[in-house]
Amino acid sequence: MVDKLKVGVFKLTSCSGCQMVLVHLEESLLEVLKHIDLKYFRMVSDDDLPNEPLDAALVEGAVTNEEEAAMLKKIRRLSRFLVATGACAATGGVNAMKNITPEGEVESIVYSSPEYVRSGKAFGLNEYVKVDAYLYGCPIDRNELVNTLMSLVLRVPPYIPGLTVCMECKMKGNECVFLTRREPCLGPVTVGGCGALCPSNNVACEGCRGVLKGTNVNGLVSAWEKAGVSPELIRIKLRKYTVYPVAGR
Amino acid sequence: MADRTIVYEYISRVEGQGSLEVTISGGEVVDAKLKIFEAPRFFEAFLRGRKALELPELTARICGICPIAHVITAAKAVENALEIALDEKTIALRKALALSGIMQSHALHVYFLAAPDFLGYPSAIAASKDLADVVRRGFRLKRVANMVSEYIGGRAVHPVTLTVGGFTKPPHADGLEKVHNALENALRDALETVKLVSGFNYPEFEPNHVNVALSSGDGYAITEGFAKASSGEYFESRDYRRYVSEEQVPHSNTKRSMFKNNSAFEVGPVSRFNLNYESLCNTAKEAAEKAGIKPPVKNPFKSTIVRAVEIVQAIEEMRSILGEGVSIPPPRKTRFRQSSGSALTEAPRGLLYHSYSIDRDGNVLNADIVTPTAHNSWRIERDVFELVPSVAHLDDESLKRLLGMLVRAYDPCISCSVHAFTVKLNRT
Repeated sequence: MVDKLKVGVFKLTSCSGCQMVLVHLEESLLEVLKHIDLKYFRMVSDDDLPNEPLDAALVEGAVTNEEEAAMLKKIRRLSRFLVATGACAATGGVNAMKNITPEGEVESIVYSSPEYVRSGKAFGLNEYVKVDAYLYGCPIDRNELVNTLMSLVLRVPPYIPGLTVCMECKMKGNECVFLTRREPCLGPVTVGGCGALCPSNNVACEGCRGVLKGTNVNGLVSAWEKAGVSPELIRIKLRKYTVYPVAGR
Repeated sequence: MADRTIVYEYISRVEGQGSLEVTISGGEVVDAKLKIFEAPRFFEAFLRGRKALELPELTARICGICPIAHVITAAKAVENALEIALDEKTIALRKALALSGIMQSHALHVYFLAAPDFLGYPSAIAASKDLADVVRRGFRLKRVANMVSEYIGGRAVHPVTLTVGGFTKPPHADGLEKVHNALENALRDALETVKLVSGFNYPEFEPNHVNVALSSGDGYAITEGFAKASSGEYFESRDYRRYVSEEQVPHSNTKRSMFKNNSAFEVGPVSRFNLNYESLCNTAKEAAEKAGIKPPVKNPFKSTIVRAVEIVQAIEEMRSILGEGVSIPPPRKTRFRQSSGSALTEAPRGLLYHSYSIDRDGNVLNADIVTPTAHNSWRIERDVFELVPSVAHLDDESLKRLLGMLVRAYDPCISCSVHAFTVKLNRT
């Protein structure tokens, strides 16, 4: 019998929601655990930080200070395969919204003695280390998590979603929130794989899964402008889970 | 007795990253610090300038364990600001969603965070080798809770349907039967859970706490009502700041939440149970009676039993609300004006406060959020002071284990609380 895959689950600056999705595998987690040895999962287990090498690390959260950057580099050295798990790890996520406010100002809004607080800008993991695979979304998708874990077990490259949320939404036959209600929807440029969850619930896509390479963000924004979406709302939409690379915005 | 310092680095089986440092001299605690090294995320800062309609969605991201509580509280605060009154069915459906969130969180806590201490395992996963039936029951309860959250909210973590003014989409009638069947089976599992945890060996400890919880004349208060304290005070969300203050204190890294400027207080399942016992359904009351608990529960360790009883309550109430199906109107339209609004609800871990000011264009001018764990943090530290003298004879390792259990009894949610804590990074 082949040795079980040694996996660690780590948390940086985040809400633990993506780790929760792992717990949400529920009884199938027990099936997954037939192939995987969870060496470190502090939220649900007393494990100490492993010293021996790991086959894979699932890292949740953004990097927001030097300590986290050092921790991430340590995890990287320890792990053969590193998975950026969720929007915060992939792009900085909601934490990155504060990056556009001058440093120091943010801290003083929340804390009366901000000198105690050490926190810089928030970044995704790939600003600091090589990332081998991404699980997108806020939070990550349960099926994609299982697929990635099983790909690791089988030692094949994990599946990478190659279609947009908009395509998935069309395949589901949903009424388009942009065409019918003029709501700016990021579906046409966002990595699919969530099954167009938000638009299927009458909510415009907020882009939590990041930009799919090769899509035309500028074109989408022009379409919003033509439909009368206010410049202010466009600016806000482009700075949420992901800061979109759109010229002049 | 020699002076000693007990340090519990990166407390396991709690949400987020915190440590406990306790200094003992002559059998008495001279200092107890619940330190949070989790990096703060500055929600109150980056919410400024965002749209009020985004608040439920964005504040969900404060916490992956109790996003539902944040979504509902944010929506209510904005609705209060704009004086939007909701219909009874929408209010009831929100309560059912909130209850599913409480059940999710309690199932996680009882089986995966707390039980390993009492069963003698480092984790539920490790316990599953010997106690597969028990662990599977925990997973089943979690699955049913998630199913209801998904049915009403569209997703279990960070739900999507709840919006200012109502829901973007009503739950579909087709899924209802499956949900009811699951809830019916879950009730058996929940009652088994009460039995299981009532058999645990709880440390003896009966401190006197001020309990604070939401209360209302209409059922077990979760999403509607006013705050009530065991010391006799009542207040509404708009008066919250007159009763609860925060203070930075020397020698401690946490910002203390204080009740009426001087006392530590407790929020959460025990407070709800103690203050609203009469509003529990009969099934939950009977379960509590069989488990040997009645108000006032003073032992914080026994919060695990109360959580199990609350799972029973949540199941019964969700069944009753979902009934033959809930038809709700489309969300109420929002018309913005310069205004402020606040809301108090019961998150799984207790009283949660959101307050916002918004301008006439619907932009957020100011945000103030205080989470249950922030409310409880001073209470946890005070408990350490009160517990240790009776157990000071224990060796360091046993004492550390016991103190870990004490912290865990409050089910602290550290990601939630960090924007309310002053943070000193002391990771080693």
